[in-house]
Amino acid sequence: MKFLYLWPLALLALVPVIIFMYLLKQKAEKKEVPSLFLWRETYHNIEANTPWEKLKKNWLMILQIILFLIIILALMGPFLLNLGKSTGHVILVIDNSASMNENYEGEKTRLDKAIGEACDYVKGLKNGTGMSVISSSDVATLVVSSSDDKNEVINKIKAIEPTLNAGSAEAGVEMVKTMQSQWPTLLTVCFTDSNVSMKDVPGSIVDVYKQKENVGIEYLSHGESGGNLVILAKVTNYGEKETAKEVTLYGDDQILTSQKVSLPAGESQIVYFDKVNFTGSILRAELNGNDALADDDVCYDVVSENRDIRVLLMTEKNAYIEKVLDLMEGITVIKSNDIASFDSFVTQGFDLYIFDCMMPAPEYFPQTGNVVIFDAPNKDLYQSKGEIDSALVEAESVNITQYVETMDFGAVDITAYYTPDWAAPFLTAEVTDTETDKKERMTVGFYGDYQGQKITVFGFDLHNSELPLKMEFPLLMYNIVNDNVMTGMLQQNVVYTGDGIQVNARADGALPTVTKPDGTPVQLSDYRIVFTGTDQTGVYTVSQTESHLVKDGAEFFVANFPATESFIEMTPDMNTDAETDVKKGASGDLDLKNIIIAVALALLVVEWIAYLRK
Amino acid sequence: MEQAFNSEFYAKLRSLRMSIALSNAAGMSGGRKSKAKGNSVEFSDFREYMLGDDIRRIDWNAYGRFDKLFIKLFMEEKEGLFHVVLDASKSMDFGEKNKAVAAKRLAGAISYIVLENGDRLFLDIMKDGMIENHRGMTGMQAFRKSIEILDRTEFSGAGDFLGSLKRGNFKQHGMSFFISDGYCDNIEEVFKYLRFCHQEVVFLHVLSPEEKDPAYEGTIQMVDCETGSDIRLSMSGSVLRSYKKTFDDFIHNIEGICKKHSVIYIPILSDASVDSLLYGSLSRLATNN
Repeated sequence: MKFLYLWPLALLALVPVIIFMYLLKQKAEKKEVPSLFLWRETYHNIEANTPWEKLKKNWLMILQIILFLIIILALMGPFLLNLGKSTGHVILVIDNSASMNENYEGEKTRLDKAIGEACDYVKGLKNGTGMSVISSSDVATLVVSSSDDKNEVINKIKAIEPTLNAGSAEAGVEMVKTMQSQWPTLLTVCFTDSNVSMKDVPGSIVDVYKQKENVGIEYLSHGESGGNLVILAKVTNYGEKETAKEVTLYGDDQILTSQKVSLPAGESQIVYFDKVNFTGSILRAELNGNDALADDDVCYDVVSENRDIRVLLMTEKNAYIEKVLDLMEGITVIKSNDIASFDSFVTQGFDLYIFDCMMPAPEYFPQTGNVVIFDAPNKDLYQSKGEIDSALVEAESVNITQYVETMDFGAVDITAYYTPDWAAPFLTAEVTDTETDKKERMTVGFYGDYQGQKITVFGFDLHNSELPLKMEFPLLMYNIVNDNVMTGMLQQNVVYTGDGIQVNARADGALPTVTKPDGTPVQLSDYRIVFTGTDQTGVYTVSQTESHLVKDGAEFFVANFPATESFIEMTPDMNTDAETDVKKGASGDLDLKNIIIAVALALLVVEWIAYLRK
Repeated sequence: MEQAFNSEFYAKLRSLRMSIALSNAAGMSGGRKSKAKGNSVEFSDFREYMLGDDIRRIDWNAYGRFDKLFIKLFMEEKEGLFHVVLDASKSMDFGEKNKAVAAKRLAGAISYIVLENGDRLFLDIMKDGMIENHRGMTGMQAFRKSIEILDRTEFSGAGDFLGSLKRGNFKQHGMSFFISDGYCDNIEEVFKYLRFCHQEVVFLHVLSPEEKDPAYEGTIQMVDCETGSDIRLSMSGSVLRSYKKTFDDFIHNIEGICKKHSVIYIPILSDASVDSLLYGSLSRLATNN
């Protein structure tokens, strides 16, 4: 037999009070007798009897004490575990999402409680019962797959780590659904603080939700105004009592300012920090005091200069370029075929201009922003060397052809160029002079920096080449666009813990490294990858040792506690699904509370009858 | 308290005629045959003349027949000595039908019988280890005095029977009517002492119905009326059963002691009527006669 609560044991201290009150209640009637000669002997006779006889005279008091003990027992929430009952196979789903980090009681978190309940449940299972364990947050993880070794299962359960990921036991239940066909008799027990539908999954939910006082910062954001920052933080009181908190704003770990905020129960407030003079990178807002969940008391933001990259694509129609630009994140592509009206576009100032087989008038040629040209002349910048009917174009080994150096493709109607002195060829074609039969390698594509502008030129129309059909084409285009406009590795700087973040490192450097808030370095396995190891709140540093062409760089992003985990909208006890069995403890089949209350009532009746008869 | 000596008592007493057996009378000359040979008219025996005998008692007829001098012996008649020993401790003043009333009536009736038989009556009132001795009374004129003594007797103090009796006057052979509720540890010593004092003992054991069948309930703090000591008992069926057993053992024990020491034991309940007291209880004395 196990108990849900131990606090009712404190009520045992009241037992002497009952005895004392009983003694007080016993007002003896004074009677004068001729002699105690016989009574004394009677008294000794009773004394000499068994202790049971001695107690008999106070049996109503004993009955009351037993009644009181039974009530204490009932308050302790006793239950019998699944003793002696095999369920075939049991799957334990343990929610280890961020909300499970909230305090349950004492020093125990909801996850600690869930682990404790799960271990108790395992101990109570009949030996030989097959067990699987799934931890569930944003994704489900199979911790134990079909084991009947209780110790192993308990150790694995105890080793389940808390996460800061948004999620619930839902993912675990979904995994159960995919697994359940393996076992004819399956019981699933979900240890969670949020509601989960157990429809079509035989089993029950063990509710480890407990309402506690918690205040959290949902988000921290900033804007610029007159050279200063305007910062706002949304603070929410998730508890049931009105509370006052102080929000302190830090900039790169230095205190900038603080504000007090009063929060009625269940309400949010936006806290504004006006005219904050801060030129650093990391903003951090922090709440004072302790509450049930510490992780949501801190929120980060990154002050970055990153802005949306705007690309102007001047083309009649080029699905290849459009598609490849679509794949790139963080850029906005504006397309036009009206080269005559280019003067109106150029005044808007784009980061990158792509001229596909067209060229604006020389006076409107953009003076800022970088340029990529496909098969269009520009006498001010470069000179044509001649036309090539057809040739096999090969890539040169330069930084924008990294990983595509071995690429070659066929093309027709190619323009060969004299390589300008500010440029370097990246595509060449070998041409044989029919008259002299002399072979010459000619530049059909080059790139370079002309008076602060990066200019990349292709000497052929993409439609007249096999290049778009080559698997290296997107990579080449990415390298070119990246070389032209993308200076950062990160497209976003604020994520929630558990979320992935795209890292686009330069392919001409070393593999990037992400340093977690606790200082753990993680080397990424590729240049372009979604980093998913955001398992801590705080500041992450993404760094890359780059090539000789560009300097080393480091960027920041922050991971905040997911606000959805601070407040459980639907707790298990709100579950109205008749098929879902929600319990407060990991009781097996038999909750003894009602039985004990019935026994207590029966005793009460006995006592009442005895009292009346007396 | 009910009056002990009321008109009903006297009316019943007048019809009471009883002779109490007493094996050896030892008092002064009286109407009771004595083992001693004396000068009464009742012939007892012959013996040979011895020097110094009164020659007037020589039976000359016998001398004629046997040629020897014989002396005629005559039974000497003496009065019987009767002690009425009354326990006047506080414990006797108990019961709705008070034990003291019954005890006084018994003492009064015995006094009447003794005096009416021409015997000598000693009233001994015991309390607090002392004894109130009254000089031997004879003749019916003394009955009134005895009633007065009994009537003014108050029941108080503790009972120390042996202590009291040792202060008493039990020098001559006689009969003692010991009237008490018998609440003492050394009742056997009491009887032994009386027997040692050549007393034939009649124990009139007076108890009240409340003592025989107590009807207490709840928790009772019982206070001993003599000593003031108390005990606390929660009354229940088992406690009352235990008391009843103790009571029965107490009676059987006293009966045994009485038998052992040739004491006539007469149990009396205080709710007994005057009829029952005089003709029922005391008739056992007559029967013994």
